[in-house]
Amino acid sequence: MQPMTQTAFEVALTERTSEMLDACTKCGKCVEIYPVTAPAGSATPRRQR
Amino acid sequence: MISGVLDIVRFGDGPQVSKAWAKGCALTGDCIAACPEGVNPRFLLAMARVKMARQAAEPREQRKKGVENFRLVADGTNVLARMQLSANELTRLGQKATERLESGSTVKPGERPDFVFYTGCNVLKTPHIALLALDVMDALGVTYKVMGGPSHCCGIVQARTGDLEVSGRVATNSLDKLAEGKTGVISWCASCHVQFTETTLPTIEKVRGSRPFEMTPFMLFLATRFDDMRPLLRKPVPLKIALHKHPGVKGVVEAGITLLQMVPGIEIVDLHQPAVGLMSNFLNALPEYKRGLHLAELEAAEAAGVDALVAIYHPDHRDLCAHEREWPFKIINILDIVGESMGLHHDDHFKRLKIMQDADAIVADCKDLMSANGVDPAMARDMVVKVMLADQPLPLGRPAA
Ligand code: SF4
Repeated sequence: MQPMTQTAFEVALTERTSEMLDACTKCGKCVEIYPVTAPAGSATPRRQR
Repeated sequence: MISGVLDIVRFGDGPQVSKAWAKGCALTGDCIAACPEGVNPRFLLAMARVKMARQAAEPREQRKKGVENFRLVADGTNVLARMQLSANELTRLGQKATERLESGSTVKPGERPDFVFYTGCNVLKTPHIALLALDVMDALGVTYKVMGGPSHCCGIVQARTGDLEVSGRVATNSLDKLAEGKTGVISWCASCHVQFTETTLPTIEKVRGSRPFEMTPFMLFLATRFDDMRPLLRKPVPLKIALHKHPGVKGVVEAGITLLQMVPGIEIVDLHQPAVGLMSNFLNALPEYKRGLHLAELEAAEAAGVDALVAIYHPDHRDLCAHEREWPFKIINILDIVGESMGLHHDDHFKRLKIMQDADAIVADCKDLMSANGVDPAMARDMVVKVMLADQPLPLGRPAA
């Protein structure tokens, strides 16, 4: 197994993150499914599962 | 809201509503399946939290906070485990090497086990759960080496303070040790599982061109062996139970329900409560909401007349178990039931001690094991107060009707 430097880890993590940022179309589907209606503080469950 | 999250990840800042979403994200994971583009929004929210932590503090402060938080986890797990476990049990859990047995391994020195069983850190605070998991694997004839505890950190503690350099380094070190299993790694902790499978492993794969191993949650591993489990679940366990659910790792709750249905005598009641988050501690950013969920679930369990409220994960047990003293049902772990049916048992010392609610009495109760394991009583008392008793999101004492 090839040893790796931390720099390589951080660089690869940044690359992965950038790829996901580029792939996101801002369609909002991930927000719609969020199971808590009001974020942080006064949250209540949105739905029963 | 999502545009704001992307701004936070890109530039370190974004609208308040997006920051609140990132902070309040309990890692339920429904967003992953909902995304038509194959993006992992849960990972992006994690990166947004890292960026926010980096914006909030200088690198030196991030590192200092990471070290402090890691030390609290390490001290909490080391001390609480050594207050409850014998030297042999610590050895089984990979926490102490003896001359007779290589720490945590069921194979001879030099042999590779079928799996590495990765406990993570915090299950060692409720060690009867981890011991039962080992007993179940023994009964299935699986060979394994246990790894976990602070020496095999997943890096989440440092990532939370924004210190990605140390987080990456400790996770990579742990990952290289975990690669020892012939067939991969079985993970107990959902938090470690998500940290490794969504951050560490794919990132290492990008650098090295291949994944060192696959990681399978314990319940999903059992699901692959249900045919072997069925004849082992011999003894009836006549209990009406409800399951406390966290759906963050897909398939785990469903596997847990199937497993419980295989136990003769078990009747499962659905309390129709919301199932949110990765594990109970992932709702800590929403304390009022979490208290409300716990109270509603306890009331629903009482109304349904269950004999036991059953959790899968260890933080859920830590948060809920002391309520057993004032509600008319037991609060147990799924492996307590599976173990009983298989003729396996480990005393739940954590619950017994926590129900005492008296730090001095708890330390006095553990004095023999503390002495045998070299635990300083003052340190033990500190950890009982800061870690065992402080994990109480819904205060004890039933609210007036
Ligand atoms: S679901 Fe969320 S992460 Fe996926 S493309 Fe739509 S907005 Fe982006």
